[in-house]
This record gives sequence, structure tokens and C-alpha cells, in this order.
Amino acid sequence: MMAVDTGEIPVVRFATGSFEAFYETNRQHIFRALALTLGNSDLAADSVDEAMVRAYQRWRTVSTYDNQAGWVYRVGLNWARSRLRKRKREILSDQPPELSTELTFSDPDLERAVMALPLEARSVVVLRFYLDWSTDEVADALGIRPGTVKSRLHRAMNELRVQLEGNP
Amino acid sequence: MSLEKRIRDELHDTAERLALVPGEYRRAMERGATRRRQRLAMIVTGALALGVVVVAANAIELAGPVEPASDVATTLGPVPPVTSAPGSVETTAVPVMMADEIVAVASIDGLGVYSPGGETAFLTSDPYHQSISWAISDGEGGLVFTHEVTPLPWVQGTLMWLGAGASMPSPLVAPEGGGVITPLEVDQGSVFYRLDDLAGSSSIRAIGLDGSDSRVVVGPTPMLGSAAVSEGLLVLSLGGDCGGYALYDTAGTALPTPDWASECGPGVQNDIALADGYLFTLSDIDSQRQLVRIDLETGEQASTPIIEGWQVEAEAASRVAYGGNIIRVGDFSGDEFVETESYSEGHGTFAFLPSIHLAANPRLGSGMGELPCTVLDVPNPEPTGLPAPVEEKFQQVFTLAKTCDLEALAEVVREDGAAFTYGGDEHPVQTWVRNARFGFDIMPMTVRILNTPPALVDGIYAWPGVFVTNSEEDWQQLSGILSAAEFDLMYKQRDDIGYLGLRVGITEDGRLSYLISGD
Repeated sequence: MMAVDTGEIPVVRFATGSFEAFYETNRQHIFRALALTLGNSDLAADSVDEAMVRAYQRWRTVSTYDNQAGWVYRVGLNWARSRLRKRKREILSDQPPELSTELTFSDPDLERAVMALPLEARSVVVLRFYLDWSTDEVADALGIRPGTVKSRLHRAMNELRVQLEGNP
Repeated sequence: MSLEKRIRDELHDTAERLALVPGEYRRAMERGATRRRQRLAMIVTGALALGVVVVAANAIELAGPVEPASDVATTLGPVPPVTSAPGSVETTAVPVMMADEIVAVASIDGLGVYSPGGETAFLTSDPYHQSISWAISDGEGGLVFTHEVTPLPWVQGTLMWLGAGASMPSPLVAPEGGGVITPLEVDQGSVFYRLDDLAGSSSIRAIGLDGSDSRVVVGPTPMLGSAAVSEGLLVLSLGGDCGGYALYDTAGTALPTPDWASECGPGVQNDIALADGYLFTLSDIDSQRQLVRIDLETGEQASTPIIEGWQVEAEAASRVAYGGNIIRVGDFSGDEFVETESYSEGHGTFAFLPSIHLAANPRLGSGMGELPCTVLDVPNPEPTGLPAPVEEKFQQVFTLAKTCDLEALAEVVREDGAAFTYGGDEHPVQTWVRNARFGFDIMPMTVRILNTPPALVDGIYAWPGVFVTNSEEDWQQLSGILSAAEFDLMYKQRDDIGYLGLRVGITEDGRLSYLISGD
């Protein structure tokens, strides 16, 4: 049997180690997913860093989640929404808006169509088609029911079809 | 090419062109640590700036009727000379005052009540009370709030209500179509809130605290700057070059617009608050940020520059707090009160709560021993053939853990000399509470661990048995008990360091030897 010694390794030992691995593995993917969702790479970069900080702060809990990357994506997306909302208020208050960096698709028609989708629909499209997550994984990440994911995706695809092909 | 493939290919192609500067996770940690330090500094600074008087922890435990505070320490800072408001309205000073109080902070870590010295009187750290973004009082000792990240299974942004005495928040309403809900005020039994939808318009809605009578008060309103509700009156400030104000009753009926509300006035693009027949807003006057008070009936305006303090007495029963562009009014009726403030990049919110009422909520705190711990309603295991002394201790620890009886379990630890931590001489409850604050709720994990087969070595029965055996069969016992991440990590390292997660050891003579994790 292993002895119970009196070292000073904190209880979070495992969580800390696994966060590093998680961070290295997922940061880029989540950033890209957020950038595609938000249409803004600067905001996405800030968002993923912010979300990663929060994941680190509560890794003991987050590490128990089935879809940790989904949690970080969701936190990042919500944080970005907050920023956008704050930015809207700043504009109302005549303060200069922050600069943004828009994404550029190689297919401008598709870019227009995707970016015209509501954020909630775009996030489903990105998680489903970029990260290749299952319906359940997308639902878990966004905190919505799988049925809602399916209906949002269905509506989004219909909308994209109309925009790109002219028929539903 | 199918549409799906076209989308998939384009997303991947575009993503491939996105380069993120390689990050170091340590930088993330450092940022996190910096934020925590900043938050603590903010709390302490804020408390000191207010001239706060400590409310002792035992005072927080009072649950009886609240006596009006008769000895409010009204040490006032000097009020600078009043300047002129727009339109050369003659102004008078709004008195600035400070009072005895403690400070509650709604933040990413939960709801905390802090004394001026920065000590935590309580802190809720379970997932249901973490990451609070906006909070207001329900007027009866509870909270109405939204999370920055709403815990599952609720929809992101769901408006929650934690009533006085409740141990869990109840969902009131979820944002439709992924919008953002911001609670405004509880008035006449209804929660009034603002819904910003993703299309960019905003509406004002209400719902009863019991979840009934959900209604739209004012429909989609573009350029809505801010909204405030008080005593049957709803005021909207509208953006644009000179949006002015719009007044409604809380049934949504538009009221005649007073002259002052239709003119370009102060603060129409900023947040507003209502109290005592006044509208409060912020405005830049003479190049200085000022709090402006407008008499709703007469339109008479008064202003006071914003200096160090951030509380202003409205009249007898209300106060105004401001921070950045956000102001809130609290109705404290002379009672001591606390404020909640979210910490999120300066877009804080303020809500005022009677502190004693708040603390009367058992969930929200009466000392370290009652901090969050997840009680499990599970039966004790049947006797498993363990020696009687071991069985007795096993059942005792199981029962205390599942009922979150931290104090009693700590007494067992103390009497038996059990190891429970690898550092410091703190009380076991402190250790468990500290871990709970960081999301590691040891008690329910203890219950789960005790449900696995033990193994005997050197006269100690150990749960889980894999701690002793390191066998594949015992490892698999843990697959549904540990998180997937923890299991994967430990399993990968099983040949090097074995199992070092939470474990329980009971000696053959029935003494708790350890309840510990780590190495």
C-alpha cells in the first residue's frame, strides 16, 4: 500500500496538470470556433483567453464536465456577447467603439449568408460543421436541448439554402 | 457539392487562416491570479472608502425582525460646490453620505459578504450561485439575479430567484432566442426586466415571482438606453442624438411626457434609476462626471459631482449607488444594507439588500459550517462483512458525509487523529470548505468513494480499493465516480503514481485513519 505521507502537494494537483493539457489541446480550436461564430478574430482571441482563465480558476469543477471545451466555448461566447452589449452602450454614450477585425471567407456569398444568421444559429452551425460535434455535444455546450439544436440547425440550413440557392 | 459540405469546407478553410498567438497556460493562470488580486483590492478599497463599520459575523446570523438602524454613521465627505446643469437649471447639492454596512459582492465566484478588513463572512461557491452577473433585491430578503454563465440544466441567461429561506434558486424566465435578460426591479410582486434580443432591439417585460403573469410591458424599443422601475412607474431613457425619456405605468400604458422628459437633458444616454419621486442619472457637466437628480413632477434638476464615494442618499428611504455608467437605487428603509456588485470589466451592477434579511437566508450564510455542501439522499450501504468496528465507522462516516455534517465529521477526524490535509494546521471544516469554494465538494465524493469495494493492507481498510491494489478491475470501478478528465489523467499515470484521489482509510479497530486526497 502507498503510504500517506506529509508532502505539501495541494489537492488540486490533478486538476492543474490536466488543465495544462486541456489548454494546449483546445485553445486554438475554441478560438477558431469563436472567431467563426462571432465573425471577429480579435474578439474571439480575447474571449477564448477570458474563458480559459475562468476554466483554470474553477478547473476542479470544469474538469468534471463531459464537454469541457464546450463549456469554454459557451463562456467565451457569453463573454463576447457581454462585450458587444457593452460596446453598444458605449456607442450610445458617444464613446468611441472598439476596433474590430472581420473575418474573410474565400466564398463571399457564403460569408454573407452565414454572417446574416442570428448568433444562436451561427453557433450551432459552427459547432456542428467546424468542430464536428454531435447534436448532444452541441446541446451540452450551448446549454440547450438536443431538440433545440436540431431545430436551430434545420432553420439555419433552410435560411442558408434560401440565401445561396434561392430555394428552401 | 452539397450545401453541408460547402459550409464545412469553407469554415475549415477560413479557420485554418486564423492564427492565434501561441499561448501559455501559465499566462492564463497569472491573469486569473491578477484578477483575483484586483477583485480583492477593489473590495477592500471600496469598503474602506465607504468608511464601513464591521458587522460581526454573529450579527449576520440574526434572523429576527430588523430594527431600524438608528445610529447610521453619517460621516460625510465635503460636497464640492455645485455646478450648473444643462439649460442653466439652478441646482442644489445632493448630500453624499456613508453608513454602517458590510459589502456583498456578486461576482464570478459567487455571492460574498465582506467586512471592511476583507474577511469573508460567507461565500456561496456552489455552481448555482457562482458567476452572478446582475443581482437585485426581491424586497423580501432574497435575490433576483442572472448568471454570467448559467449552470445547466437552465438556459443561458435565465432569470433566477432565490427567495428568502430558499436553498436553491428557481428559474423565472429564460431569454427568448438567446437574448440577454437584465433584472431591473421587483415592484408590486413582479420582476421587471429588460430583454435585449440578438436582433438589437430591447423590450421591457415582467413576470410574477411565482412565475405567473409573464407579460410584455413595453414592446421592442430600438435605441433603448436604460430603464428604471419604481412604485408603478417605468421610465425609459432613449438613445440617439436627443432621445429624451419615455414614461409608462407598469401595466405598459404610456403616460404623458412631461416637458423636461422631451427635451435634451442630462443623462439620456446613460443608465437611470428611480427613487422617491426622482429620476437619477449621470451626466458630464463642465467636463466633470456628475450625478443628476430630476424631480419627476417639476423637472427641477440638482447635481453633485462624483468623487470618491459612490452612495448618495436620495431621501428618507433610498440610496443611489453608481459605478461607471451604471447606477442603481436601493430601498433600505433605514435598515443596514449591503450592496452587491458584479465584477466584470467594470460593467458592474449594484443591488441593495437588507443585510440581516439576506443573512436570514440559510443558504446565504451564517458561518463557515454552513457553506455549500451537496447533501445526497441515498441509503447507506448494506453491511458488507467488514469487521464490526470497521463497519460501524464506515457507516458513521458515510452518514456524516452524505448529510454534510461537517462539524461532526471533523470531530471524528480529530478524535481518531485522521489525516485530512497535507498542509497547515487548519480545522478540517476549513479545509473542506476551502476546497468546496474551488469546486471540490469532498463530502459527496466521499460518499461515492465509500460505495466502491475496499481493500485491506497493513491493517487498514482503504476506499477505493484501487488505492491499494492498482488493479485494472478496481480502476474500472472508478470510471463512473471520478470525472472523465480526472480518471483519464490518473489512469494514464497509474503505473507511475497509482491512485492519489480522495480516499478513506479505516483501521481494523475502527479508527478513521485518513480522509484525504493528493500525495
